[in-house]
Amino acid sequence: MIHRKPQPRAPRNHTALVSLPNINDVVTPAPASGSPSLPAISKRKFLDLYSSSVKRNRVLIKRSREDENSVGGSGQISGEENDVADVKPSEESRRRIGNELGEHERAESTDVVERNGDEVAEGNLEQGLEEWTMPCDTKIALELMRSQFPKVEKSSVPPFVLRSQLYSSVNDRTLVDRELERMKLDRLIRVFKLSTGQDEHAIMLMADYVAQINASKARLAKGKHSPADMAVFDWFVRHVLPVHFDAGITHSKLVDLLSEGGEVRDSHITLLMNAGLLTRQLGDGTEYWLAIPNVGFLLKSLTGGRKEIISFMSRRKYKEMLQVPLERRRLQYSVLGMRFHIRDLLGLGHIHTVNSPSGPIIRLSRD
Amino acid sequence: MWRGLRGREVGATRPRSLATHVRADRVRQINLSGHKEIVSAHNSGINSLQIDCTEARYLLAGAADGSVGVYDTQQPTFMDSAIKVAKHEALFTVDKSVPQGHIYSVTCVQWYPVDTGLFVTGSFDKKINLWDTNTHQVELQFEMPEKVHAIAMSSIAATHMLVAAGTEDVRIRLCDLASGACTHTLSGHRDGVWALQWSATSEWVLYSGGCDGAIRFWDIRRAGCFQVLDQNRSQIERRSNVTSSTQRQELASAPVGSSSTSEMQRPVAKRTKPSTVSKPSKIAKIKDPGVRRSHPGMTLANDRSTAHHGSVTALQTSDDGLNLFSAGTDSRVRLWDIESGRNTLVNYEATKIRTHQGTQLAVSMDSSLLFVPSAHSLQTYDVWSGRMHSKLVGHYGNVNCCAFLAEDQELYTGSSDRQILVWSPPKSVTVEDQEEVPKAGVAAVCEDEDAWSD
Repeated sequence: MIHRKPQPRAPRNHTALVSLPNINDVVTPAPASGSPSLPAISKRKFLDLYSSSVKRNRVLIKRSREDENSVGGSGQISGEENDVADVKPSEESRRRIGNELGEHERAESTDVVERNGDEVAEGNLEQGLEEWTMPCDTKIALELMRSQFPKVEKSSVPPFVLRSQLYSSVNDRTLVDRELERMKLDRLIRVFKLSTGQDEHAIMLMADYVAQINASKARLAKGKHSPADMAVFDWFVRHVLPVHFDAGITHSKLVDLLSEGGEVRDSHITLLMNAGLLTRQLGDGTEYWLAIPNVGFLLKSLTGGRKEIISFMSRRKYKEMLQVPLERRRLQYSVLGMRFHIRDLLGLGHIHTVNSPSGPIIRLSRD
Repeated sequence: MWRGLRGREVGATRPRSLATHVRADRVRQINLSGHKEIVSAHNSGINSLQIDCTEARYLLAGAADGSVGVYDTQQPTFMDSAIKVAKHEALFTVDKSVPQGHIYSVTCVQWYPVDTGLFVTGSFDKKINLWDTNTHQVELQFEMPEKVHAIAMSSIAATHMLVAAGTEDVRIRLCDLASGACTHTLSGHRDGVWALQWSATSEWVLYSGGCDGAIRFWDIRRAGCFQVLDQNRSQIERRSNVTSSTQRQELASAPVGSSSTSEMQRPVAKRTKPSTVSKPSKIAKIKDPGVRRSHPGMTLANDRSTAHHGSVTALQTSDDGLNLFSAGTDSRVRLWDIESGRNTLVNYEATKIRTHQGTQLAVSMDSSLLFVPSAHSLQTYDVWSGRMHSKLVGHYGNVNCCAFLAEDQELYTGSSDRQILVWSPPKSVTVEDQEEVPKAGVAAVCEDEDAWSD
């Protein structure tokens, strides 16, 4: 886990806006074939050079193994713009999710973006055996915040990250939105609409969500529900989650997808709602939001903590405070911890940071 | 500047590129004007502004006290010599004292697109008035069932004179100025309609945004809407903007809505790069069973997808007519690709849209900057990255509307504080100043040399 704040980068997929230099130009400007005078270049050096030159655009670099020990010749290294990421999930990943949803590592490995073979310039690259990717900012930020999610004793909710929190650490909001969309379509994450605001979303790793579903299933299994009814949870995981990416779902579509598992009755839907997986959309009886089970307590904390911080800041003389002492304060109405809230409020734009000689100052934004 | 002119003279640069460059530069420097002021003749907040499409000279303003004023943006009424500010007073105002004038707040104003002899206003008194600019009298009045929130006329229409009217009623009405009657009602929204915009490429296509958060596309020649924008359907890539001229003509001439939705999407799928995200789902769309083909309007009427959480307050097409901006009370501004109907996921950070009626957005002429009224300020954004470029602060009340004058790169904003403010690039060098400039430059250099020599 990388414990540093990710630096803002140019968007990864802006082919229309940013033209990436050719990797050959970066490493060796004049690719004269077989010129022995070219200095050998290490992988690390190459990465440094490349990443600095393309302003850290995410690239996917491939090399062929036979060239590995004598790197340095021209044309042996090539990267390509990663604009060809086919986000439509492959058949393979669908199967994988269906079978082994519980395994986090497996899910992660789907992040390796498959290349489009057409765009490979040189033949020897096609046999590239080693490949690695630079992880995208959003993913790093997501993982970082997930790992720093406060441990709450009372509730059993797996870590989730608010979209606004991602905005606070990744500079380019458009990039965040687009990368989240990609990850959503890759079935790495799920995005949930929160009831705390009109445009607020929580992001949870797919594996965490499935674990949470299983946990609530186990909790309900102790009750008087028949095993036949409990099968609806498996149907939900197997047939709804891999196909449906949106935060909301209509009743007809839900029944449609669930019925791939078996005959769906109203009691099944009721069971899902009782488990907290679905909530009704306000003002519309036929639509549901997908929801995180048992999250209500944390959402109450979220709104309470936000209010508390804002009212505390607005009562201060200059409506500002050094970040370090502020982070040390304890919150009365929230169990989520100060850091969680500060990130959230920064992303929402209610507060902003100002640098000062004695450390960053948090200041309340006007109006 | 001089190098650019020289380049144009010898043919090193393209003839238009210099002008485009200078304009873009000026738009980016836009700020509160120090040499031009509009003296507001209204006693309450300004709700709507528009600059006429023919001469790009006369500014029409509708206010919450029911008055409508016309201002000349070129010819100042008098010059305040002490502070060297040109004051522009209203050429005339019409209010409730005029027979049949609006008695409640005027929410929307619109010049007749063909000339400045007529203008249309809509108001909370459930009336739409057609005014004669020269006699200042009401020529025609349309009765609406509910408060009028938005009106729109197509600036490219050659065969119809329809005013689209969005009210608190769920139906959009099209009023014909030629016959003085209401010709169409378009139903599909589930709540009032606050934003209307005609297509910039086809005279038959109308975009509407409602309080139910939906944005619907209508072809007025057929029943029902032909597209509903869904915020969850997105495309990550910007669709290549470089359509060849033939394609563009096709776009302009082709009856966009006449073909069924699935047919429409086929050329889009072809044009997008084969690797873009949206393609697979598009293919799936085409393979949809032909329910939609049988009666596209009725099936889409039941489509409840939303473009915003909360209501849509403003719609604005980009200059080339390929993209649509929408603002909503969820404080988000979204950028849509009109052809594919997809959300481009550009995130315009930190807007605050708190309003109870429709607002206006404005786009600079080359569609590079977007102006969004946001609480007491006006924010300018880079269109394609969504980054805030500047924040124009000057009003004491909520900014309700804005109008961009492309010729002079000036921006006019109206606010609840009853003011109309002019935002312009820093004033260029006047004729008598021009001779002094080189001297001043030389002097400055000399001073510098002196300062550094010892």
